[in-house]
Amino acid sequence: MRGRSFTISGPIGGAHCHKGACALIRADYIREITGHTTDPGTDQPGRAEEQGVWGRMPKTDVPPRWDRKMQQRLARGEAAALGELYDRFASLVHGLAHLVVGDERAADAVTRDVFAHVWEHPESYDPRQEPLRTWLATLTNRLAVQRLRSAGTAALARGGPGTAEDLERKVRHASVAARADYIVQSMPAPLRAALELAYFQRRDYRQTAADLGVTDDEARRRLRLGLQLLATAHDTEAPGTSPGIGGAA
Amino acid sequence: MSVSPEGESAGPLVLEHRVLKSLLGAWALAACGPAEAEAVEEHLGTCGPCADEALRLREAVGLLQRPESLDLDPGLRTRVLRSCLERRPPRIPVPDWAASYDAETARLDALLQDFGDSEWHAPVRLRWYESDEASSRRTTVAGVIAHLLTVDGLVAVALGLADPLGTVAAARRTPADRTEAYWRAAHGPPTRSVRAPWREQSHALVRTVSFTGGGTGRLPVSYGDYELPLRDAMLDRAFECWVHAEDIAEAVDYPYEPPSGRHLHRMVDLAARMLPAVLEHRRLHGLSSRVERRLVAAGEPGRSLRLEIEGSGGGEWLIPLDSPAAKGSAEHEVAHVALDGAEFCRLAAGHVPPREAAAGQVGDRDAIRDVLFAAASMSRM
Repeated sequence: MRGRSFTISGPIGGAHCHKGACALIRADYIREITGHTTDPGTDQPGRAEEQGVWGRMPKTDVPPRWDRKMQQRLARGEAAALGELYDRFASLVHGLAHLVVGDERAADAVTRDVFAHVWEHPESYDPRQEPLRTWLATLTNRLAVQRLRSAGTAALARGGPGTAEDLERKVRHASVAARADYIVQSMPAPLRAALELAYFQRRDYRQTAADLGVTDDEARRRLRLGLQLLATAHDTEAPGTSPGIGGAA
Repeated sequence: MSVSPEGESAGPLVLEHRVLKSLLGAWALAACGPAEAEAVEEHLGTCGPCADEALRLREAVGLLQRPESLDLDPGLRTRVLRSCLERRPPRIPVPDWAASYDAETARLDALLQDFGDSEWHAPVRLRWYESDEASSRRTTVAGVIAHLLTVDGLVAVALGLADPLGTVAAARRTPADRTEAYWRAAHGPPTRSVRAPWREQSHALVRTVSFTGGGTGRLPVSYGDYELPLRDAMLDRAFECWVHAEDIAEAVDYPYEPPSGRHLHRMVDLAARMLPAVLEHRRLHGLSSRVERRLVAAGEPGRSLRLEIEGSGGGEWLIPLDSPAAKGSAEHEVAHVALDGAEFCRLAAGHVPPREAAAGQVGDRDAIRDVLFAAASMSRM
């Protein structure tokens, strides 16, 4: 069975939390349910503990060591660091890019652009601002959206079908879908497991509770929390306002 | 429990606001009972904040999608990294001779990416030649990674990094003894948990040789009963990594490609360079054909076999037959063997019987036999 393995770490989406959701979701609760969860085989063992799930919340001021070191090594021009960066994040970057551009070769090209940007401008990533993973996901989304939009614009200019509005709708839809995917990948494993059971396996919340070995209350809480996180995928930031990325190619 | 099980009360379900709110996620997913759903819907008509949230969560359900399982093109890594390094040349490059190890460990790691427990525990038979006989040893996918971890550890030790064996003592520092010691010392059979230390070590090796091995790579790496210079040891480890990745891929029924031509060429070259010494060793132990040697002064051309490797990464090598000190020579060519590159590597890995390996051969049959058996004898667990 070949399934995608998910990672627990990282904050949610572009870290632009919906106010309501952030107020409702208590970081200590998240930590409580993720604290004992390790997902062997993920790309970042132990990262949930290391950085807290809400990397963007201004309570853990120390940037995760791995991210900081990586940034320094890239800035130093260490080719081995670039390889390690690729090994850890290529499937995330490529997967998100593919969701937006919907085509293998275009996703390859976005992947190349993302790593080229990091390698050429390592200083544009600030480990104190957000985890590298989030920053890369945001960068990927942006470059993929750019590619989709410019390909679409070129097609329109050649007299292709549809209107500029259709294109914008398509771009926005693809971008939200990719953000949603990232949120699901990044949310605490217990929330993801609850959604998986209730949605894909059509278990009701009592069955979900029984499957997970938690109370009915807890199952309801996880389903609601999971959806609240997922809903933040719709909260797009205006283009160009993401603070983490400077001068993306 | 705050929600009464359904069907107990005959009338409409009456729930407090707190409970109704907590049900919103389950409701949006259609994962609560009919009576509860009805109670929630009734509530939404009168409670603005809950109605807003309900709408928002319903929309979120539409965003759930089955994760696509896309395998990354293994060749993409090389293309992406090359493109990056062209745009900004590295100040600290990965030495050329470590590039194969970097690429092969990344390929194997990508293969392991989505393995579940059944794959990790799939049986694998390690195969090699010992005293010209096929040998094998049963283990699992996780056991193979443990084997790679412990043998790569020889390079780690040479570089001053931590020995993955820790305090476990091996009878000798040979690859086989270290592996057996590691397997024995574990409390149970190896599991997927071995992946992280293996990958951390392989990354650490590439990183460390970039700083300390630079340029020369002559630092000796001990394999217990012989030594290789660091640059060749890294090639040897790249070769082993590929060979065992093939073992693993076969065990779980996955396709796995040979290394890129550039890397394959270097691996064949290493084997070709080692052959004269292996022939000498076998001669000393009475394992070669009884032919009259024609010794020449060191550095002079001697009787040679032309090894022609076909396909991507191929080339030609002249193997001096009578002494490692002699120089391979086209004028003194007595035999010619032609094989596919990946096939030659499988021969050197002990995965192909020497008698069945050669695709084409011309000339001195004893010389050909000696070289093919010598190639197979380079294999080890």
